[in-house]
Amino acid sequence: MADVLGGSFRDPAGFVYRHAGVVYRQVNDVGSPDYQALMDSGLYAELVKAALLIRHEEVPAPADAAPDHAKTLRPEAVEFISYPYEWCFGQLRDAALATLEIQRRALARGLSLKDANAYNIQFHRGKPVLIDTLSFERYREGEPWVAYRQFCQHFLAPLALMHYRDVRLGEWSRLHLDGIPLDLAAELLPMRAWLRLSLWMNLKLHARSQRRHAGGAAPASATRVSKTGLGNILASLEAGVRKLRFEPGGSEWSDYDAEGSYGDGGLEEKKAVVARWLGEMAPHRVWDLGANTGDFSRIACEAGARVVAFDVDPGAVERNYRRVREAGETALLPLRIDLCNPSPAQGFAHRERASLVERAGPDCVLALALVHHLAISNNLPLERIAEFLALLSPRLVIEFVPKGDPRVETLLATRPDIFPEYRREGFERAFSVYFEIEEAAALPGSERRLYRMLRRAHRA
Amino acid sequence: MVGREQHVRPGRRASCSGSDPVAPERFGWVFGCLGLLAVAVLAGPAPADPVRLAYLDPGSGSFLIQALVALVAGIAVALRTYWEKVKSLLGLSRGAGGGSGGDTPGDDG
Repeated sequence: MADVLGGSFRDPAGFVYRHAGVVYRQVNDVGSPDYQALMDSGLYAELVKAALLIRHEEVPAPADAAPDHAKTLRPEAVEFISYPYEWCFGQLRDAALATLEIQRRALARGLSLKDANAYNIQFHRGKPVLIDTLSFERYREGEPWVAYRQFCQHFLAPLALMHYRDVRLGEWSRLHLDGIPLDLAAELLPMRAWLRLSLWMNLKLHARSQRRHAGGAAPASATRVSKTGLGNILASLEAGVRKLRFEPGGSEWSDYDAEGSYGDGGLEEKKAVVARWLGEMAPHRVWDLGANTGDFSRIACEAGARVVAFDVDPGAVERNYRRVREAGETALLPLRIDLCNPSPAQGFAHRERASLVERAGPDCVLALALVHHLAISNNLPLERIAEFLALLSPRLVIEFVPKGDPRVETLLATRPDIFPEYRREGFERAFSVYFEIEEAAALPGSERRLYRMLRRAHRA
Repeated sequence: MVGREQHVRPGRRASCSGSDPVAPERFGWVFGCLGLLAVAVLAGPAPADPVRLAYLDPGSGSFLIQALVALVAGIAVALRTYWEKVKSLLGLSRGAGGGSGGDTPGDDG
């Protein structure tokens, strides 16, 4: 059997593997009745039509299939696997609402979600979609929602913390891979959060109930919940989620790339040069690092690429995501990443969640108005920056912002200049170790320069 | 009235949707709280035992609370439906303030 994917070993119903670059999902015998119920109930067709579940097709079993093999599915490929700790508030909120909507439709057709894991949601063509086809089980009358705890931990608790405390708490999902423990969330949320009935019940009372009944099995009679009751729980969760908001205010870089950074015609020239180079390279996949709200990411989209737009600022990512949703864009995925501490490999045996580099595969990286933040704000040597970018992609479009530029002067205003190498010659020398400089363009009205680079063959 | 409502619902943020909440939401909320208060009193205080971390046990506590949530959210839904009926009987329009953001049953506002 080919490469079984790291996070795919908890569910006995089946697993996911990659063979010759294609992702497949095997349904085991034990998972077969529930899978068949999903298909026969009409739920699969309904959810796929509503773009809530990934489409798949059944394919012949591989020659070396295990004895408990029931079916082999080939799901539609998801462009880029992202994780909740890389999402902005709006992405996590939309993923939560999608999960509730899926469960509502499942119940109506006699099925139920057996997990409500945020990692099972991926952004596919701009929208949150469930990718785990085996997440459904046949609904049994009177049984509570088995994934209720997981929903509260993966969605409701982090969203409430981001709303009431600080949007940066979204990054905590990186520490708690099975969601924020409810006792921790209940301890950290302010009193006013409990004035919302749904948060008080689903987080505070829930945490208290967990503590009170820890270790003891609940008698079946005490846990009976009718189907109508399950509908009420979903309504309560949805009411809680819908009331949680984040408004990106004037955050760090919100007006960053405004005309002010460039002289007359500089920004237009920058856009024209980037568009021309992208048109010539015609990349399929582009990563825009330091994308802000995605102006240049969209130039790459227009050149026909599928783009992942990374930024460190949650407000910028939120604005970018709203642009995606409002315009119905399908080729752009905004994510929050700190390039100085990108997502590591995580989970059991470091194999459940892949690092950013493990998920890399762009044909081209854009690094515009970025290098001075890495080199000066974060003291990263230029050669190390070049090494990292060469690790990500064979092609690079990068902007050098020299000393003397108002933005760099701002960064240097409060600290001694310990960056003698940080000038045009030093930049070109450092990057020439890993890349061949194919072309350079000066931007009018400033000392900034754009470079188009190709990774040296022996550095691949 | 406006001041009182803000007193009842200080959790509302300026950034939330700007619509005025409709009366039945408030009604359901108050009744829901009364019901919950009764249940919470019946349930008694939680053991103050910080060593038994909640997430060690994924099941029973999360199962047991669902019956309560289903009940209280159900009461809120019922009260709201009832109130809507009363309002329509009295010929009160639900134009101003209704709708936005509160489109789900069991909405606690």
